[in-house]
Amino acid sequence: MTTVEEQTLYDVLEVEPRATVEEIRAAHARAAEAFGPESVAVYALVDDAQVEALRERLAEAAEVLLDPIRRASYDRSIGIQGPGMLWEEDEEDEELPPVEVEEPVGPGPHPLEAEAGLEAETAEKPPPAQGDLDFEVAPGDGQFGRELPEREGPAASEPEVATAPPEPPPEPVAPPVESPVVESEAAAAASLHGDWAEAMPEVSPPAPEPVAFPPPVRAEPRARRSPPPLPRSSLGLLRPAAAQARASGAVPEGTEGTGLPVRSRLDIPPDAEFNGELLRQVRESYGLSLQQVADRTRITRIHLENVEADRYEHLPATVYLRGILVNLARELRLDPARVSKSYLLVAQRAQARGP
Amino acid sequence: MKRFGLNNVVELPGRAKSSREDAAPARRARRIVAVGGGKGGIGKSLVSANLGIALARAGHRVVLADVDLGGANLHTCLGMSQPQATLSDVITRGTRIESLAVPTGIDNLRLISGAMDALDAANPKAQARARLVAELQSLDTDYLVLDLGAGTSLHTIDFFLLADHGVLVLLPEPTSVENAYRFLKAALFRRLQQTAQSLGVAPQAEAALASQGSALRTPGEVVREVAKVSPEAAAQLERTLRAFRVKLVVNQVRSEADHSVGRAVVAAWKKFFGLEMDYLGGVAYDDAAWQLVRKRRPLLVDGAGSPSATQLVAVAEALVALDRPRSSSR
Repeated sequence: MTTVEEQTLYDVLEVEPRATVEEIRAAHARAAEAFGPESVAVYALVDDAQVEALRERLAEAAEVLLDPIRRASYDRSIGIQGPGMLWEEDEEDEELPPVEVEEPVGPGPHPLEAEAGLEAETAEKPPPAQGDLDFEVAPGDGQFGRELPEREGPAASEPEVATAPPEPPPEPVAPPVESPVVESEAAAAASLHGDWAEAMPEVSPPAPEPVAFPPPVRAEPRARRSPPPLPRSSLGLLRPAAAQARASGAVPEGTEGTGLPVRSRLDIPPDAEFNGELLRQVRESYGLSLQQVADRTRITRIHLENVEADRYEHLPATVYLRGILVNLARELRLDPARVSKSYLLVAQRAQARGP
Repeated sequence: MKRFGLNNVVELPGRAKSSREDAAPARRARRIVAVGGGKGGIGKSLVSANLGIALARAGHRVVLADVDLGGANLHTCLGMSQPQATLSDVITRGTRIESLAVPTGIDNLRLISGAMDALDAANPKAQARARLVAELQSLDTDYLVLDLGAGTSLHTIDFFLLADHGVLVLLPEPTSVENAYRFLKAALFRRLQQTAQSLGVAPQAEAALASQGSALRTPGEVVREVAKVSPEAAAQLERTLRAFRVKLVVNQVRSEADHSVGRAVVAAWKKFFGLEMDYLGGVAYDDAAWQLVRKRRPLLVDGAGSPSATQLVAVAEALVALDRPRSSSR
């Protein structure tokens, strides 16, 4: 009994996740007619804003699912594994599906990688093996460019990539990096009682003074390309904080699941409300700056700031805000439907209470 | 906590009490079909009458009951004069309902007129409604087809909820679609409230239903709210709501675009309310049919073979087909 806001883009178009491009096109055409301004079928069923939101969501569904790169990225964000997931890399290759080959294909690299100047290396790689793709159009280099934020120029960082020792990854120098990821459930629970020391899993490196959720704020930790060097995978790609900590042994066995970093390593309770503060924490757990997220998602930075600061009165209309939240959630590898729904609810409540 | 009581007997559908049904005497209408649509003049009686004829011709024993108590005219659609005894006799004289069902001249098809001329006939009291419902349910027939009145009055909604198959008739035009949705939402939320009450979670359901802004709360949201206090009640509530599966007929279809309205309504209902709906089919706008209505002649009798008659038969077949694969799950 899910409704539009809770549905995946596939559900919205009423197609299977494996639907072909033709099927998606046909479904969108049907939906555009059924729910278009000329259609009598939505007359007086719900209020106009809800219908408008549905139309936006249908447009978004077609836009994302008809673009192979964005579709792959979206699939990853909703936890669909398979042919679409081609770019995630991991040191523990044996844990990954065979499609997780060396070539980081699919969507543009996450800014975490981009920050290391990997875009240069990526661009030099041969195009992906098209046989692995489930799409009619294989992503080409030009398409990568579309997704990537503007950068200062890859050349500067290239030597760093080349010389960085692939293995073993160095110990994380900045201790706070570990904090978001050492939160196994037990640790998180214990943290509520301030009993961290006992709850900490046994880890080999000396555990720094850990900080319970919320994690410490690291202002743009990777925004500067300066020492200390961050750990890299065998490909030399920078990893999210979680992977770094795991590489250093700070993450207990099993907390990584399949090793696919499709979600924030923050231990977010299932009933957590996604307010601006939590979104900020998730962003920072990835070490992303606001500007990076803005570049990456093409969401105006001021909107992102207002979202994180819960300045509802400065945010755009719900229809647009939902789009912003969906994009932001996707970038942060959160469930877009849950985030947008939760945030909008929080915002509605706050506004109902008045300033 | 509210328990099942006499009042709830009226309001709760038979299927919510399947264990009781199992133990009930065999004498009961095997399938109850209610034809509604919210708006007047959209062809509810035309669909009811011809649905009844089609089912009867297919060999089922059918009783057509006119429960449009204030504006009964099903007898006119069948070319009959108003029967002497009507549903009002059940209430005023305690007449047993079997004796009200009169032959229509069509094999297997009987009619119960609903004409009630008393001033408050259209709005019987709860106790009278309960009596009517119990009597209707006791009819010994394969199909009981209820022709509902316009509007969203409680007794109309309750007759709709009583049915195994709620058939919604609409015309492909805004006024009709608007009223149809209003009717549908009224029925859905009444079902929701009744079930929540019987499960003892009415306060939670009410709180969840209290609208946030202008947006209507969906059944799924209510179920989730209820789940916070009682997962078992939520599961039962969800099952009941999922069973709220309306059957749609689009009348006076003039174009392919009109036909697509039916499919679009099904899709929109699912999109916004998360519930399934079955599209039984469209019935063409037909001058010949209109002429027959004026002559008080049933379409399937005097206009058989016309496009609209053929489509009405197809609607009946689609309805019967729904029962075949799902008979065990109902």
